[in-house]
Amino acid sequence: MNCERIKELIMTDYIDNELKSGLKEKIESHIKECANCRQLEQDLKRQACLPFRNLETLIPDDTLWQKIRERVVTEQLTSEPAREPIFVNILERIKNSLFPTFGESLGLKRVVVYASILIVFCTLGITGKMLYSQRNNAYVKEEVTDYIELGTLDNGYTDDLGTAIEEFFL
Amino acid sequence: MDIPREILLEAQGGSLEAFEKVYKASSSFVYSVAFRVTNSREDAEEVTQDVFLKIHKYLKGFRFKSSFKTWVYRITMNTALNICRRMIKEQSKRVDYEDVIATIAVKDDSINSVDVEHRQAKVQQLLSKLNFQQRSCIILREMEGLSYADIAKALRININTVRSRLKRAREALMGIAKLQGGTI
Repeated sequence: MNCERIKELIMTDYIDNELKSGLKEKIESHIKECANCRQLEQDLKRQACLPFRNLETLIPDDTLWQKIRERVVTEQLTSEPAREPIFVNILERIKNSLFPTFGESLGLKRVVVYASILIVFCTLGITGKMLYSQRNNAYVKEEVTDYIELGTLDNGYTDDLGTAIEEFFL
Repeated sequence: MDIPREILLEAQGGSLEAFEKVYKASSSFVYSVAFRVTNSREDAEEVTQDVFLKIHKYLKGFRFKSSFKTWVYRITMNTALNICRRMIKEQSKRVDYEDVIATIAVKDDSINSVDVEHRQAKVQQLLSKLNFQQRSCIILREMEGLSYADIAKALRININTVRSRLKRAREALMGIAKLQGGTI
């Protein structure tokens, strides 16, 4: 290894203890023999390394933490989600109770949830309508039967004005 | 800066007390690095504040794949670099970066009396002669004692780039010493 290569290593890996042990020893023995490289190592340590070592640690002013704390608390307060409308909350609760493991991020899943809710509402609506229709039909049928029977049954009254009150006044 | 994993997990969960412990354990090195880079106490405070707000914001996403310290170094260096860029922009009339840094070095007159502070000022003067990339490497290597691998991670550069930047920085520093008669 020539002096140029060794000087490069002295400037970097050697002075910073980044060399593997075998190479480090080779350079150490070279430095003992080569005056130029020895001078370089001494100058390097004195002029470019030692001035920066063992400096006092700087400590920031005590008020800095208070400033940071205030900012953190303010950010926490402002980043809290706004209260959602009750209706949305209800939908959200239904969704969570139906699909507790569903993630928030996937739009497709949201669509599925809302579609399911819609289907439930539609089903309830149709069923309700059918029940109403059945009850209505029964009522109409009953009424029709009554009207038909009104004129045919032998109850002592005639078809027209056949009530006891009418008979009394007439 | 050795922060127990439990404290970091608590801070991730939103505990302000745990976050305060993280601050107390790491604020001095963040502030020191920021001061070395920006060369101004005011800017170093701004960098430190920004760094901890970023830590608080992104801590939940920290997955312990790298060391917490390396992660904090990376945030600190990026934030300090942004502040330096802003300063350069503000002083856009200046001819080159070196002039700007020299101006910033003169700006901070709070360190000039006691011996320790005199040494600090001397160091800042030397650092101001290096460009940002060289200065970052010298700070992380000489003052913070990071290995080449950790510097590469903190600055997101190749390990050989770390080597070449350190070499150029040291050549520049030795050049200054030569101009001053061999002493710094």
